[in-house]
Amino acid sequence: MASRKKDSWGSSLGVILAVTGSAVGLGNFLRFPGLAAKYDGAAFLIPYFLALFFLGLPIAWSEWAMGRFGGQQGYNSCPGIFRSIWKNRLAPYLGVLGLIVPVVIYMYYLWIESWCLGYAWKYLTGQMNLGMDPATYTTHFTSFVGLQTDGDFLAHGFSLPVICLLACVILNFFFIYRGLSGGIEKVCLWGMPLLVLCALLVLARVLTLGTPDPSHPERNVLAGLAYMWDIRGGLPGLLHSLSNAEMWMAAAGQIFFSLSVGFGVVINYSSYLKKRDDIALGSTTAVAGNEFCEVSLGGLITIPAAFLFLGAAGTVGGTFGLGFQTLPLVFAHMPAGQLFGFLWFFLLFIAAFTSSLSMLQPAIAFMEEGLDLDRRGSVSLLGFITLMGTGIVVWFTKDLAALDAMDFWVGSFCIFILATIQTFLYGWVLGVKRGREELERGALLPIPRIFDFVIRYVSPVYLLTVFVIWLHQKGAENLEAIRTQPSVRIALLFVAAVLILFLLLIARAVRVWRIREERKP
Amino acid sequence: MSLYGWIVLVLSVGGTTGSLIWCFARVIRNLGKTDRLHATTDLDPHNADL
Repeated sequence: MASRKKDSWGSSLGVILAVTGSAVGLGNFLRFPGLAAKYDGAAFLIPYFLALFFLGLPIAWSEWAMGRFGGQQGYNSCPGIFRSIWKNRLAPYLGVLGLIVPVVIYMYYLWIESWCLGYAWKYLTGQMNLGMDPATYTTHFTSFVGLQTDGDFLAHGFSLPVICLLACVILNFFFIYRGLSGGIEKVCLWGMPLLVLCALLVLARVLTLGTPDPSHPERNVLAGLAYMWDIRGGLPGLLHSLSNAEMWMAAAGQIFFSLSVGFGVVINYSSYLKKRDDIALGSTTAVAGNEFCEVSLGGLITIPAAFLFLGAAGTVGGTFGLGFQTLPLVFAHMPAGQLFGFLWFFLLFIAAFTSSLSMLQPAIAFMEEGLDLDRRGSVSLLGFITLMGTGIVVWFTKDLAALDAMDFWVGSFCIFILATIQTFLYGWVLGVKRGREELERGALLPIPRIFDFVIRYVSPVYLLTVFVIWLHQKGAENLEAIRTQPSVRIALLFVAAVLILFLLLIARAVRVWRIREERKP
Repeated sequence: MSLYGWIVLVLSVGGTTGSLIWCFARVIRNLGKTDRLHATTDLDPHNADL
């Protein structure tokens, strides 16, 4: 291992854009606006920004600090970093979550990424002229994804959806194999500005539409913006909205998932930084970049555009409904809609691609430092595991059962657990004093003193409260799905098998690290 | 849109856009300095075994 050249970042701008690219995804452009529209527009923003300052930003700072701390001890993976912070036999095994979360999310995220690529391709080649009937767009999405029966997605051989999935697999592995600075960083350095440019072009189009349908004068740009940003019902309406506990949970969840905290990627990325590199400004910039894409771009485009052509009824629907059924209908109504439809789905593809690229790096780092595999070996092994997982997801397509199960138990449940562990490690094991020393070394931005109190007391309580209520709201139906749906059981059995494999690999890595430490003079 | 709506929009969009521009300006201003720092810290003898 000593002879192997360690991965590193090319520049501080590169790591910031890579972290931002990892965080910015479909949730920024589809989930956030959908939630804001659902929970009375402006009222949603109050719990949202409170969660940003008391949950998202503090956990992001602590992750960057723990990552660089672990990197200085020679570790880049969660098991190694946790072990370097907490001298407890259990510590590296808790780090398994930092491996399994991004790896399992990668398995289904790759598929969603391929939908964006497929839709972008269809717009580019003029295949999305489906008329003005909303049902056509629902049927199109159902057929594209194969929602009706299991195996439907793969039943048509080398169809466009399958080709797009294969293209995403190849693109991802090509750039992941090229490493941090040669692959991931280069893609993000080009991809993130391109994403923002596409979003600005679509935004300019939406804001200059005026009143597109003279028969509906109430559907104009200002009314669209008002639907997203206005306080509905004045002050009494605002107070009524703020008394909705579900909205507070949704806002905290949105911040939490949007920033990708507790995801295992940021802690890994920051471990490649040098001892005196800034992390305070870098982490804050990455958070600001994510919030810009979410609030300024997603908030100004998605709901106003849907409202302009479809009215309030067009703004409802989950992430996939809004993104792949409602918005294509909006583009059908919009002048030059084919071009703007392409730009929109291309930017969603870039957002998904820069996220998926980051997801295997934590496990690659673990295999390199714990199992002495080289990049080729670790990428090949992970490629095999993740392709099997993706295979399960794209086989059990009926009602997206496998995808939803993995997303709930790994993409939400495990993320909460990992974030709680990280908050505990930073606030109570590493300690806020040592943590602050780490944050302030080379800092180009002062971190407010109150952060020490927030990360030690406020964030864990906030996090656990959100977690318990969220589990209470969603847990029962997901447990029921395990009981009633064989496809969910198969998907989760596969996840359990991957979890056990990683635990065994960690046990071996711990032995290797121990021997290495004993040999050290 | 009401006055409250405009205030929320300007504060939210202006706040996130402004903070991004401010942060990026600081990052870019310090880009040369920190990248030169990488070269010197690479020679830190305490890190030689890492």
